Amino acid sequence: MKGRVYVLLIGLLLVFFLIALGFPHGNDSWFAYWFSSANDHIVQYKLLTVFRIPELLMAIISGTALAVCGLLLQTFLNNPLAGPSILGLTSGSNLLVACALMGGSFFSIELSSFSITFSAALGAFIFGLIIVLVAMRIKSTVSLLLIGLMLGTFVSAVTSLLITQADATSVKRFSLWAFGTLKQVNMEQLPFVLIVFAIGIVAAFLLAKPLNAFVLGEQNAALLGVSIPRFRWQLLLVVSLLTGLITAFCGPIAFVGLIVPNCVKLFAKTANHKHLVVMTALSGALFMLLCVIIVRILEPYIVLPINTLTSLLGAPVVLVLLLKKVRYV
Amino acid sequence: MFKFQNCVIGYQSVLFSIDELSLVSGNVYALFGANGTGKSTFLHKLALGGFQKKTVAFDEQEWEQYTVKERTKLLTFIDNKFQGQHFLTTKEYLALGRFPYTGYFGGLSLNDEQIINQYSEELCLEHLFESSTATLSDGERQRASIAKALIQETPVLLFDEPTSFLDYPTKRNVMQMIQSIAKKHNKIVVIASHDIELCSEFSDHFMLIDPIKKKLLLTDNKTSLQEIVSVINPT
Repeated sequence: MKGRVYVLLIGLLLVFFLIALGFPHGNDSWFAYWFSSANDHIVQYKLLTVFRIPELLMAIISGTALAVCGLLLQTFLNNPLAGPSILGLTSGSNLLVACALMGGSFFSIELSSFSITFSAALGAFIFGLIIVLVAMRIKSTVSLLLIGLMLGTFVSAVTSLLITQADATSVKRFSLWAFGTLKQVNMEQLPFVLIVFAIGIVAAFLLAKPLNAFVLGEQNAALLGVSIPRFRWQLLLVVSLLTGLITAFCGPIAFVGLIVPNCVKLFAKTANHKHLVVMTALSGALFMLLCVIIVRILEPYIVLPINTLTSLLGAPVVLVLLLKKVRYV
Repeated sequence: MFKFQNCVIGYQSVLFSIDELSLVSGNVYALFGANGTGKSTFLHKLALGGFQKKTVAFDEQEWEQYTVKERTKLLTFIDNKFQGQHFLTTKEYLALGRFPYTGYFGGLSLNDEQIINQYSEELCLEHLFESSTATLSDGERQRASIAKALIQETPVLLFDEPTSFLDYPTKRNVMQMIQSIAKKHNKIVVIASHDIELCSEFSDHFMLIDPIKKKLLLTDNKTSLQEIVSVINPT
């Protein structure tokens, strides 16, 4: 049964990847790189390596990372509406990246991708800590979301304040980043992203066993021998590393961490996180590839930033979940 | 065997104290006390630790010296708060009983599977393996949580209100089941309950919390209902 689900997910992933890879650009034909004439070949090759491959890899990486973060947060907080963006972790990254970018231009320092990632992860970690501390006191699902919302509002106020003080180039750089795009990563940055991503995902997989106990709630997990404080730190580190990485390189991408795990749980009918983590990872990648394809299809008519698309799809899902799962709220 | 000596229960203020008490395998102990006299506090402390040093011992070793991992192999706490999770199947729920024994990734060995099957068969749960814990009836869910506790294979079982939310025949069934488990598998069973009439019928000893003297009294099961009530609810 589970084997079939994996085969289906991996198969779909391959199909979507091929469609996104070969999707015609402008008036070109499908898979124009392989079927182009000799003098056109160099241009097409550039198109493939500079734009297509980094973008698709980032789609897979960001979808996987955000969906897995969402799953970890949902199980840990016992809250089906949790996710890195809705709880304000992304806002935390947002704030610190804004500070870093504008501070960097103020002191005229060129920021490396490492320092941006670090500040984004730190921001996610700080805001995650706030959420976890609040969650220890408040058990209500909706209150927690309100606090995430407040954190987001606070951050947008602070960033607008920063923008009024900053110079034109850093404002431009920040605004472009804040749109959320998969196209800002180049081939040189990819290895760094891939390594951090791999560390985060492996760490998330190692948390599968304690997560299984957390399905029964925090107290029962403690009774089964899970050390709650240690697990809390581990989870927070993994989630903020992955969220920070994605937010640093792709900007804030909303709702992926919320939608994907919920859909997976709906169909998988299992609470075993060894399976759930893998299925969520595959489905997250699938979801982002689908978003990329939708953006491609709509490209002749409107230019849709990826963040806008995920929000358009995600907000209704939150509404449905709120209406359906009243029992949890 | 659990041994208590000059043990004080309570966080800031003293709820009650135990001068001397031994809990012996194969016996069911019913813990009776009015609301707020410290029944749940007592059970939680047993499960998660937090007694004063040298007041509680289990099998000749001080209870507080056991690590958390060791304690999960000695004691299970069964509360009635679990309402089921939509995507958690009964089989997976039962498998969580093997949690303290499994390796880093939580994979079940052949032996683990055998233990799960053995106890599920004993409590007639096999036909529910694939159904979601959210769709079980309250009686089935209580049976499943008892099975999960047995699967954890601990010599001590603590029950917090095992009969609440159940109808009368199911209540009797559950209590009968708990009693026969204590005898058959030679366990120490402690049941905290407000259902004095029913619990007294199936217990070997009563532990009564006297709210005036702030003491825990151990009596045998010949004690009449009136006497129990007069101790725990003095007016």
